[in-house]
Amino acid sequence: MTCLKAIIIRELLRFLHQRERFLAALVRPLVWLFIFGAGFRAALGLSIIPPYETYIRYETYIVPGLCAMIVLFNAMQSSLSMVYDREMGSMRLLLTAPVPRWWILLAKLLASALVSALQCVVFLAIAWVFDIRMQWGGYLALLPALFLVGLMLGAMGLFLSAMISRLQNFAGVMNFVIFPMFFLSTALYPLWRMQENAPHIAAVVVWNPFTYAVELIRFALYQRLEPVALLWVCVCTIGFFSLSLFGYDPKKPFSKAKVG
Amino acid sequence: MTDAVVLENVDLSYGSRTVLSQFSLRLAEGSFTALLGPNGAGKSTIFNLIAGLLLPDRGDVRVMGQSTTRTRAGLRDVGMVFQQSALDLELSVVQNLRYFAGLHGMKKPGDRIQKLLAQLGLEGRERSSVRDLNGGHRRRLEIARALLPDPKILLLDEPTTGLDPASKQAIVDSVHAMSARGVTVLWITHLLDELWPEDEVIVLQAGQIASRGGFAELGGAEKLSQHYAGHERPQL
Repeated sequence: MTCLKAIIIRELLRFLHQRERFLAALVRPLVWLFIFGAGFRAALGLSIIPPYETYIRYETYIVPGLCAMIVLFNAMQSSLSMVYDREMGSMRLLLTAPVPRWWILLAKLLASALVSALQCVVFLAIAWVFDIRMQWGGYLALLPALFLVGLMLGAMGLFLSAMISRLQNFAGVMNFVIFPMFFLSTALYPLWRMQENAPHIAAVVVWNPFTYAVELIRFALYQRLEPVALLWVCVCTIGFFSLSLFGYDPKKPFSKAKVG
Repeated sequence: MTDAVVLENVDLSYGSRTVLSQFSLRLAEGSFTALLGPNGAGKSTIFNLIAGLLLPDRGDVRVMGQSTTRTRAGLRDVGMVFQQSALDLELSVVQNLRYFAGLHGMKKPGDRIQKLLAQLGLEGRERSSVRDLNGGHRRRLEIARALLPDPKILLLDEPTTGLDPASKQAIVDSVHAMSARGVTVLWITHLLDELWPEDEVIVLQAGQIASRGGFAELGGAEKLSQHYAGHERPQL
């Protein structure tokens, strides 16, 4: 537990020391919410779909997607910092700790999920000030959902950090992971809209784990549980985490090349 | 005397490149052993195996009697100074040490941290960002970090890199003093002037022990440097 606490405190301190990172993490979804949201509101019509029981503003619709976006970017930032730590050498400190490696990776994952949840809380507080509000119960129900999504996307980031050998290769992750994951999901537009206009894209959206992360958050905000989304998020978390363990196994050839 | 570190018939390859083949090594408790050899001889690989960063393809690595392939508990007794800095530049001096203490399960490291900072001439810099420290101070901080859990084994990979002569001498002397108090030391270096006549020296070449014996017994700096002939001459 002392090890877990040390890793969580370190991640929080690093996050607080990197003020630009905190600012960027907030500005990105706020730009979507207030600028793109205003533009898209006119172009997109939303019907009443679960969990909504009445017509909602477009800004309200995209809040869950933007929360998931914050978690996604933070997971990738955490993954990037793992690659950076490995290049700079400080990863060795973590990997030589006298605790099992799976425990170290799990602690990193929990720390990353916690930082993501904190960022989302600040984002929702700003949205609340600008009159984009949910019920208080929704905010409470959101916390475990955010944490679960943080674990899933954090595990994906861990896996990517095990696969990426150099910092320079990380730019590719932006193009091939973050943007497709975000845009090919229900974060910005509902699935029925895509099924009507671009069924082939809708088919991809249905298989995108990020879609289920968004829906888990969306339903949680309305104090409802979406079991399919929960199942997808749990299965993907276990899958990505298992792959990360494989990636950081000191017996694996690619793992050897990175420390040797 | 029992062995603090044992490598037994270790095979290790990076892909198709074999680095160690049937390699065995024993370090007695309280011994001071310098590991010399040209670049690529396998020194850092041995360091990484003992540190638990690598696991052997075959064979066994035991630290304080515990196999690193089965448990990482033995690493609790190992302090390490890596060739490349392992400090977190985003944190302060004291935050770096507290982080490491936490990783090693130390619950109240405050007094030990203060003692080590004073010992290594870093008092008054507790709140300084590591980013603002010069190379010598960063190296001292690395050594403070390695000593924090009061290790029984100290692994040092070129630990005096970047230090001025006085600081370098102070580190060499204090590590030798620790060895005299029973700490097992494995010191990887190219700098033969860091060694004392009674130190044990292992010269590694192409993943094999080319020679092993006392520093003076092997002919001191002049003769040892010949082991590097055709590879790389050490700094003297």
